[in-house]
Amino acid sequence: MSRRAVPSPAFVLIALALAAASLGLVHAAAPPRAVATGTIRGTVTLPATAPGRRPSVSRPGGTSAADRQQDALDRQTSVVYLDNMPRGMAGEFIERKARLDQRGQRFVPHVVAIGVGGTVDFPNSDPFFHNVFSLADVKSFDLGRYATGKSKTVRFDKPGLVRVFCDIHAHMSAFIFVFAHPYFDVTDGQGRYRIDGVPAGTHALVLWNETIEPETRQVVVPDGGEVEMNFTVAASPAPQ
Amino acid sequence: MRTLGLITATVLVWLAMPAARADADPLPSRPITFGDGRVVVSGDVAMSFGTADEGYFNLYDYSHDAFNALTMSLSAEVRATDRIGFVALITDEISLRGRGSDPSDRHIVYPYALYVRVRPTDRPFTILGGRIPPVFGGFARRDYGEVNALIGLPLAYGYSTTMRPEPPPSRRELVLNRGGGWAVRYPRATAETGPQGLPLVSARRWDTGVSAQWDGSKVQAGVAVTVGTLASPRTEDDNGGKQISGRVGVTPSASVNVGVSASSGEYLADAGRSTDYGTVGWLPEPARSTTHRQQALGLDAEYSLGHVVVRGEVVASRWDVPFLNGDPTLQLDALGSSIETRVALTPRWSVAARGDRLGFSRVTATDGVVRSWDAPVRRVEGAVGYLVRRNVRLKASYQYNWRSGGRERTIGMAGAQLLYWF
Repeated sequence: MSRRAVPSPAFVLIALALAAASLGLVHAAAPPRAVATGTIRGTVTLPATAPGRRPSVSRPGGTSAADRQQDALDRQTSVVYLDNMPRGMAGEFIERKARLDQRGQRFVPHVVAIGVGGTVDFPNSDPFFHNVFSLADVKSFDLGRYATGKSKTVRFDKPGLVRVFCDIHAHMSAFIFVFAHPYFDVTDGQGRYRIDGVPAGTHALVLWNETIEPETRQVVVPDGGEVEMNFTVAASPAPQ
Repeated sequence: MRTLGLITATVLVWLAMPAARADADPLPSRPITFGDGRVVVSGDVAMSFGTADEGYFNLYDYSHDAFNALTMSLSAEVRATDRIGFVALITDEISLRGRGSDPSDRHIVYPYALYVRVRPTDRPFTILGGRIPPVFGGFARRDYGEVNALIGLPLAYGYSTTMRPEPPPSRRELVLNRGGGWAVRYPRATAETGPQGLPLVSARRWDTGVSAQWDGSKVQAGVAVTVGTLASPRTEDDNGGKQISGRVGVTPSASVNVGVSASSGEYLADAGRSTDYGTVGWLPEPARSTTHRQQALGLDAEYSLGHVVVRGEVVASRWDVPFLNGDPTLQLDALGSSIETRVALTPRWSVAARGDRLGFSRVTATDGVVRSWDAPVRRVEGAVGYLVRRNVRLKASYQYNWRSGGRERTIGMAGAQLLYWF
C-alpha cells in the first residue's frame, strides 16, 4: 500500500500565509489568472521621404554614398502599441535593453522601445565626438562628449516618450519609448510589427511615427488567434 | 521705439514659455522639406536686448550692435543631384536701438551665403563657388548663432579698428583717431568705402569666390580665392585684387582640433586709392599704383571632453597703409587673441566665459610721439545659458570692456538673448 505524502499543518499554514501575502504583490506584477491571448500584427507603410537634415551653411558638407545609404535599422521608425494596459492585466513587462548607435551623424535606429526599468546603450561609432542629451520630463540627462568606441548607458524608470539629441550635431535626434506594459513593438526594416500575448478583447491600438499625429484604431483580438492591422501613412507634416 | 521694445519683450516671453506639449508647438522644430527631400529650408532667429553700447565696442555697423539686434535668417539647400547642391542664407537684421538717423539703416536684408557646392566623389572633398564660408580661422566657420555661447563676438571678429579700405591723411591723423573705429573723423573717399573701420576678420559678411576643401576626420584643409579680404569681404570686387586664404587643421584625437590659417589680399579700394580728397589731395605716387595688402595669420584650437569645451584663437593681421600726405607706407599690425569656455552644468543649464585682447603695433606720429596706431582693447564676458527646448536657448550675459583711448574707455554691458532655430 502506498502512502501518500501529507503536508504537515504547519507547512499548510505557512504556504497559505505566503500565498495570501503574495496575492497583493502578484496583483500588481503579473496576470492574476490565465487569460486568453492573441496576436496583433501588421505592416506600416510610410512615404519614402525622410525628415530633412538641417543644411550646414558654413561647413563643406555634401553627402557621400555612405551618408545616403540606409540600412534596415535606419528604417525602424514607427512604434505600434496598446494605448492602455488591458483591464485585468498588470505588469509582467519586459525590461528590454536597447542600443542607440551614433553612426554617420545619425542615431541608429531612429526609434527604440523598452519597458520601465530598461536601459539604453549609447555607443559612439563615429570618428568624432557626440554629446547625447535629453530634456524630457520622463528622463533628463546629458552624457557629455565622448569619443569613438566609448559607450554610456542610461536607465529609464518612468514610462513616456524621451526625445534624444546631440548637442554638437543639431540635425541628430532619436526617440525612446518607455512602456509600463509589454504590448508594443517597433516596426522592422520592412515596416512589420507583431505584438504577442495580447489579452483577447477590444483594445485601442496606436501607431506612432514622428512624421504624423499618432493614429489610434480599435482592434478586436480573438482568443488564441491573430488579427492583422495595417497602416498606410500619407505624407503630412506633423509638428514635433 | 517703446512699442518695438514692448513687442520684443512679448515675443521673448512667448518664445521662452515651455510648450505644454511638444506636438502642440506652433513653431517648427525641424527643417521644412520639399521635392522628395531635395529642398531643405531652415531658419534662425536671434533677439538680443541689453545695455546701449555707448562705447561702440560691439557694433556691427553704425546702427546695429550685438546686444541690441533682432536677426532672422533663412537658409535653404537645394540638392540638384547627389553631387551638386545650392546653398543660400538670407539675413534680415533689425536694430532694436534707435541709433542711426535713417530708419532704413536700422533694417537691412542681405545675402550672407549664396553658393554652389560640388562634391565630385564620395571622398570628403568639396568645391564651393559664390558667396562662400571662409576657410580662415575658427570662429567664422561655425554654424548658427546657437554655437556662440555668448552674445558678443571675439574682438578680432567684431571690433571695428580705425583701419579703413582707404588711406588715412597722415600718421598724426591716424593716431588722433585711436579708439574711434566706429566712425573715424577724417573724410572718407566715398560711401562705397563705408563709414566704419575694419575688424581683423569680418564675421558678418562672407566673401565671394571659390574654395576647395578637404574635410577628413584627421586632417582638414581648405584654400579659397576671393575678391575681398578677411577684413572687408566683398560681393563685387572693389580693386581688381584677389585674396588667397587657407587653413590646415588636424584632429589628433576626438578631443583636440588645431588649425593654422593664412591669408593675403589687396584691401585698399579703388575708390579710396584714386580719389581727390579735396583739401588733402590725391594719394601720391608711387603709393597710388602700388598694391596694398592685408596679410593675416591665424591659430585656432579647440579642446573638449565630457561637459567642457575650451576654444582659443589668435589672429595676427598686417595692413600696408599709405598716407595721403606722402608719409612712407607703413605696415601696421594688429593682434587679436581670445580664449573661451563653455561648461554644461545640467541638460538645460550652461555657463560660458570669454577673455579677449586686441593690441596694435606702435607708430611714430608726426609730432614724434610713439603710440599704438589704435587703442588696445580688453574684454571679458560671462554668460548663463538655459535651453528652453532643443531649439530655443536663452542667454544672459555680462560683458566688460577696457580701451586705452577713444571717447568711452570702459563700459559694462548686460544683455539677454533668445535664440530659436529649426
